[in-house]
Amino acid sequence: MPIIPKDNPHGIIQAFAPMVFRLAFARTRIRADAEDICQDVMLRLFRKSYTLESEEHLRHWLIRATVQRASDLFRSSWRRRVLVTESVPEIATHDIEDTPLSRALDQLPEKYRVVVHLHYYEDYTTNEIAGILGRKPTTVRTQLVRARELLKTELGSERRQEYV
Amino acid sequence: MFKDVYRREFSNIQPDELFLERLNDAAVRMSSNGHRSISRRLGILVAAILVLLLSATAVAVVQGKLLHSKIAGSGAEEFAEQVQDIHVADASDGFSLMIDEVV
Repeated sequence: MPIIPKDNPHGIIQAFAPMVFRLAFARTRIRADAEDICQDVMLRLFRKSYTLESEEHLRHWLIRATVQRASDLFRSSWRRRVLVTESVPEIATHDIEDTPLSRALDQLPEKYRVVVHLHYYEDYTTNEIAGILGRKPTTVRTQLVRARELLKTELGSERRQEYV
Repeated sequence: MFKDVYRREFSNIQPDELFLERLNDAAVRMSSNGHRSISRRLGILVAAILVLLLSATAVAVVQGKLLHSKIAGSGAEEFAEQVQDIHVADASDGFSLMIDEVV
């Protein structure tokens, strides 16, 4: 059944804004940035008269838009200037609970975080992630394998038993 | 399992209620503005067409009047005004001449 976001903005926000926010947060690790991205993506959906084929199609559209917007944010010269002048760990961890996993995710390269989140939280397979993000399945698998290795290293041998 | 830990950690990460409320308001406003803007655009288009039609009619009327006056001016009435009748008559010789001369 086709979905016209403009016909039900309240329902769409309630159903999908948390997903967009979590994905944006997984990528940026900063709450304020995640809110900015979430707002931009959701409002972009209502700015034009989109008609999406299904709920899954809408979900994929939102994921792609979120990843794209987050990449734009990371590429922006303003952000690069801020990251050079400010303390990165302080920014990255000031507004989330300090857990071993959180610290490990902070150390993970940004491009791996999206793949990890889509696989472990949204339950997408590597092929599905590749389809959504327009990447090769082998690239996604490689990123996931490298991310797992880095996370294992970061989480340390004493915690590995809990996570693996 | 890593997946369980990851899911548990991210389940706690939620957007603020206030943020969602504002986002919702903005989305509702934007959606209804979209509908309004379509009717507004249609209104502007119709108004523009009407203005163009009125302008074209006014130009046509003015040009028609000008043309009419030009035609009238270069026609018989004006020509007749420029023609002076000259009558030459010599009664003694029984000769009579009438010349319509353009002055």
